Amino acid sequence: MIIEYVTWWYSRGLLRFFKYCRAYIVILADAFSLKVAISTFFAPWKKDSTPTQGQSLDVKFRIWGFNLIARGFGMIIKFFTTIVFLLVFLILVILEIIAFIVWLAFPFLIVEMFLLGFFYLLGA
Amino acid sequence: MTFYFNGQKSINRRKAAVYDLGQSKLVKFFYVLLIVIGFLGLAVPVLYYLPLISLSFFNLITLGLSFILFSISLGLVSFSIFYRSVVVNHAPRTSLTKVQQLISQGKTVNLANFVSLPALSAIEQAYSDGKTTAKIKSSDFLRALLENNRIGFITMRMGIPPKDFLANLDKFYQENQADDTEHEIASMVGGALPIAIAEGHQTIEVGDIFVLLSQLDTFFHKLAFNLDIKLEDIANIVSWETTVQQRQREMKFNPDKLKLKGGIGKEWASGYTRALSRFAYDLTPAVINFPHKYLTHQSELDRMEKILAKSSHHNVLLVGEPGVGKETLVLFLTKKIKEGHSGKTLGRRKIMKLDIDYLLAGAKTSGEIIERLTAALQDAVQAGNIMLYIDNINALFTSGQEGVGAVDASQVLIPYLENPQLYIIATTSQAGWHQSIEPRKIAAEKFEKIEVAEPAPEQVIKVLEEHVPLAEHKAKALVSYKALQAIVELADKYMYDKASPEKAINLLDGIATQAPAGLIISDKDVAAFLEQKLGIPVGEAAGQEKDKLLHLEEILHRRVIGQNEAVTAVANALRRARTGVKKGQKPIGSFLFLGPTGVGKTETCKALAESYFGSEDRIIRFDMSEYQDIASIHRFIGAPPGTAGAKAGGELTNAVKDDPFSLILFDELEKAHPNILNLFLQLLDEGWLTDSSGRKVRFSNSIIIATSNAGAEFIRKSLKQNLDAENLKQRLLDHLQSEGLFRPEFINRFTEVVSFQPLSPTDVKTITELLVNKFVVQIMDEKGIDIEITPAAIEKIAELGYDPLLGARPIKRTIQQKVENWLAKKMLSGEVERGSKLVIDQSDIEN
Repeated sequence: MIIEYVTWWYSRGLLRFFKYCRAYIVILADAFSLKVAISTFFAPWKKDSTPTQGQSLDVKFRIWGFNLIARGFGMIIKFFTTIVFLLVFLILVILEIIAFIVWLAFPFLIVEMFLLGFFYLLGA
Repeated sequence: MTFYFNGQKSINRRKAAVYDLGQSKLVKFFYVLLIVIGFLGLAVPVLYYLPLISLSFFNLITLGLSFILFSISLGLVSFSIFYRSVVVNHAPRTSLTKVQQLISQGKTVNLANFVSLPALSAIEQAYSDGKTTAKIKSSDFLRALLENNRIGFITMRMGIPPKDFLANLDKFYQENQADDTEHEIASMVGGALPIAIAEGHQTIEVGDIFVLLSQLDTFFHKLAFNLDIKLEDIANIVSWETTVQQRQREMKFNPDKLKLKGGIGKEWASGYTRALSRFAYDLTPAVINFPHKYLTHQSELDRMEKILAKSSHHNVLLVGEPGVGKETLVLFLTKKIKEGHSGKTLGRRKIMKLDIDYLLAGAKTSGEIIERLTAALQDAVQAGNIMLYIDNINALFTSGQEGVGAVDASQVLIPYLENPQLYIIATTSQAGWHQSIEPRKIAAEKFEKIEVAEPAPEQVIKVLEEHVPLAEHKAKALVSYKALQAIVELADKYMYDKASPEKAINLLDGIATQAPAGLIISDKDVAAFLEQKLGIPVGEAAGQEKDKLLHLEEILHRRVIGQNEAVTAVANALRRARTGVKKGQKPIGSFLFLGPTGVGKTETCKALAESYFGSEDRIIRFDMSEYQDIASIHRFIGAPPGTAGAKAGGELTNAVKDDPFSLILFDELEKAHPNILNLFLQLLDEGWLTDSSGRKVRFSNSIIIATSNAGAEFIRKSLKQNLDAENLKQRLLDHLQSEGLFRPEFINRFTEVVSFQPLSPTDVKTITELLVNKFVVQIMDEKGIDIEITPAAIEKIAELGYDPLLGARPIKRTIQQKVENWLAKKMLSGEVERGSKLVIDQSDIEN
């Protein structure tokens, strides 16, 4: 059973650990709507765009101006959202790397702590 | 003990042992305790190395011990991760389907490796209890299985707690040891393999073995009969238990099945919907924690998706009775879209429900409603990602009616129904379709109609199984499988206001709110609840009611004098209905009462209504002489859709819809138009009629009695020939058919055709006595005057009151004229007052 446990820890257990890590990243990306932010980065905010067909040139210019503002507003919102996402993503990745190291070291940590205790007892 | 399958040990036997350990509460307690102590022990080295604290306790020994304890804690924590992943969620790498394939190819498979860990433990336990290494006894196997929690769930749903089941098993075993059977374990597990595959299990579970035992084990069969368990229910309960396990697993976080909600920017890609948002709301939040998985109308959902995926003509109209599950279909679609399982076209869409109440609220004119609707629809088109769900769309198609909210928006809707940017899912009932939508052909053609029918009872049970956890949480009681069966059966039989599954769910909720905590809700509780709610007998007859049914003839004869045949016929019909011998949707009983006037036909009806429905007011009476022309059929079942009065419905169908638990009396049936008589063919045969709006009206809980004076003269003449009752009835029926009054197929559909015979002088005297006694009691109660009417006086009243043509009908008038008038004069003259005692003799009755 011990062998099965150690084998599992460094094989299927580790794979499962990676799945969890991936899942947290996906959840984070979803919370910040990363997919929408990237795929509609240049699109007008809330589809707020007016068609210009059949309008006079000065009206067309005015509409283009408004349409451009809508796109610019959308880009700013999405840009800052993506920046915040990247910051949180960085923190998450660091935490996951730490967790990964702990996972790899865990069985050794158990043995090490046991031996340490044992040596202290011997020293006494 | 180690057990073998095909001569080999199970590779999972160690895991099974660990699993068993993990199930022990004591082990769990010490496990957690050790972890806590280990982590607390970590404080020792911290305090040891702190320069300011110097205690003799913090020496190298305590330091060494704390490190050892901490390492044990870490070991236990990591082992618990391994235990949860590998032991608790144990699943072999080879699927059971593959195992079955290998077996069918003639290969040898060690089935022990494909048995779940709890099942392995149960098998080992059974071997140990039976002190054998060969075959396992059924009783030992059942005892071992009953220790498992999952079998506990199953027996509880059977209505028997596992401890009681075990006690019953032991008692039954003591009395029937000779019937105990033995099983070869490999063949037993092999037999459970197809069951496990059918249930979608990854391993052969305890439930699968339990089902197998229920299918082939004679000892189990006898035990089940003894405990009133239906064997076929066991597989259904195991299936239910599997569903519960699956739901519990799905509720936990699973990195492979993430529940993503779209995040902060899910609305960024769609346009503003200010006007629409005033009257509509997004359905997506409603399905985030949607607990339901089972859909009764899967094919309808598939069809709906196909229609909505089209580039044009993508509007769906779901037509079905209220409660049938139309909105559930829309919620399932919302869920599929949310989870990204609905394809590219629908995937980016958002379903918004247009609330017609919001749309109509505060609107002063129909023009304002139209304005609001147009703005909302315009918004939906501009947003570009909206799928608009309009429940009861017929409310927007109500032109020609008066009052607030009466609006015909069909013309406004048509251009939007043609717009490829907008997808509309609408619902309506059959009546709504026929009355409001079908007549507006252009609007109707823009929709693809999907009929949503009432699901089958076994499907409704599965729906209820999903609602049980909520009901149980409310009730703090457990719902048995028999209770679910009773809910479905009785809701179908007695509740007509809505269709299933909604009415069954409502009934379950109703029972849950009234059930005492800590009990198992049984089928009897369901019947008792419904009996209390409806005020009619529903469950098995018991106590006083049983006696009443057994002596029903005597009870009816208290009001009906003579007419033994009629009384026996109706009493038998009632007994059949109450004991459940009568099956199907037919009325409780249908009788054609033939005979002259005044012989007790109506009195029998009243007596019957009083005995069965509790009051003679439960009679719905139709004078069929008012339905002689062909147009009167519309009064009876409602006018056709689109015509004046269509909304009013029919007199018969409305009356039965309002009070389905009643006696329906059709007086002078022979006078009705033949087309109306044709309606009776279906009513009596199938137990239901379809009204003009397409709604099904059921008569399953009604007693139908039709009376006719046709053949009265024939009865009178025949009696002079001293014919016996059976001969008389046959000749009467021949006579009615030869005269063309009733067709044979019409007469044959009644439960019983009863010929009422003219009253004999003795009958008349008894009836007079009954009526006089009633009068005497009434005067004593109301006026305090004690009256005694001598037998000679009664005889004289009977003589004066009897008319061979009108039967007993004039007797009441005679009592009024000869006794009541006489008494009134006495009271006015002051001869008689409160407390007086009077004797009325023959001489006091004027001729």
